Amino acid sequence: MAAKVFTMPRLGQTMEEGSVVEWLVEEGGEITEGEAMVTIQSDKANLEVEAEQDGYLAKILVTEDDGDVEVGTPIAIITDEEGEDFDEDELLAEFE
Amino acid sequence: MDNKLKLDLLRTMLEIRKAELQLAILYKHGEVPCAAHLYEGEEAIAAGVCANLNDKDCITSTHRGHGHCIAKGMDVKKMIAEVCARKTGCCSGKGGTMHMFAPEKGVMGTIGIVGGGMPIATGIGLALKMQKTDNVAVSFFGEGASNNGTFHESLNLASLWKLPVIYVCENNGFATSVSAARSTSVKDISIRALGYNMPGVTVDGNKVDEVYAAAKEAVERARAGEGPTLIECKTYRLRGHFEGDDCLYRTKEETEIAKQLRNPETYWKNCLIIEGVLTEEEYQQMEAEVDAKIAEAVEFALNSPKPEGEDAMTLYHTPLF
Repeated sequence: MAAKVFTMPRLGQTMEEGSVVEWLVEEGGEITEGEAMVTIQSDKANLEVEAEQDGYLAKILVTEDDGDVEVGTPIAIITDEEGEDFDEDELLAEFE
Repeated sequence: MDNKLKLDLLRTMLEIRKAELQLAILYKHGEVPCAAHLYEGEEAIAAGVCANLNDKDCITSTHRGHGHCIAKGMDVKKMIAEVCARKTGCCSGKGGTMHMFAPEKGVMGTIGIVGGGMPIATGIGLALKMQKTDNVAVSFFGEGASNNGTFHESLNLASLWKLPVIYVCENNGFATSVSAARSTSVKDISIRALGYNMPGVTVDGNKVDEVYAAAKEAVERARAGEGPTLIECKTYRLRGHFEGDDCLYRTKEETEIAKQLRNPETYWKNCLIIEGVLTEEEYQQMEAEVDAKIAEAVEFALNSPKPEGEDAMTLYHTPLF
């Protein structure tokens, strides 16, 4: 069991920031490695970004209302198990 | 093919696939400072061809070269470290994905210039012949590169001089974003061999046994001094041209069909299970071992230092005296 932070991905060599266009999985929903989880707008295109592991989209931190955030900014928390407890402050501390 | 070779081919393909999927993640995390062109879906070609080669045989590879490096025996730790620009990489982290070399394994470069590897392989073939070895050179390139002038120059000279070179065209359907139908005057690249008076053959590049058999014949011909061969391997590029490519030039359905029906690992795994060479449990075991090996390589790369300013002028030249 573990929780992980999912950050704004870098989707091109010139991409410095990006925005969430749409979460393709609901908060709390199951995700599958290699399957599209979120649509991100980079500096060049809208791209579907795949989940990097099997698990659950435990919490969405950045939505379509938030506009551009820098690459590397936490945008969600992923857990291995459904409904798993996690310490958000502790997880996000290293990104402060 | 003996059973060991059959299983080795599967393991090599799995290593390539798993390494590429990890590199896709590392790219998104900002660990890859250069463009990344991944080989997912084309693994059977590198695996099937390189299984016929020894360390003294040489290859030239392309911008999509990670698979060739792994299949030719480059340490996967050094490869991933190089792609992530770490000092422990095969070129000390200063070459990156499109300048990877391992001369001790015969990897003579993942050449970023499209079509750039063919003349180099031809020159290596000439050197191997002049040195009177029975070693061979292999050049991997795409169908787009087969429209370049270097293709004509290389195949002409290699045939004229009977050089021990195998030209392996990986026809993955797309030159960057341009489909082969829109860029290439022939349906089968192999037919171009006729113009150079050498054998040309087209195989299903997603079936490792077909690739292996065609490469075996070509390598034997080359070792016997009978000259070059052109092999076209038809395949499909499952990912975009580069990571972050939105692939607007093709449909998602087309890619999904290729993913489901033309997966080279699934094909070969099923062949081996039907033959009784492999069980599902043994496959799971192999996959777990490969996962562990790639995870270890990723950890090695991420824990390795990046080159510093003081490294900027080192290692570019080999001292002659």
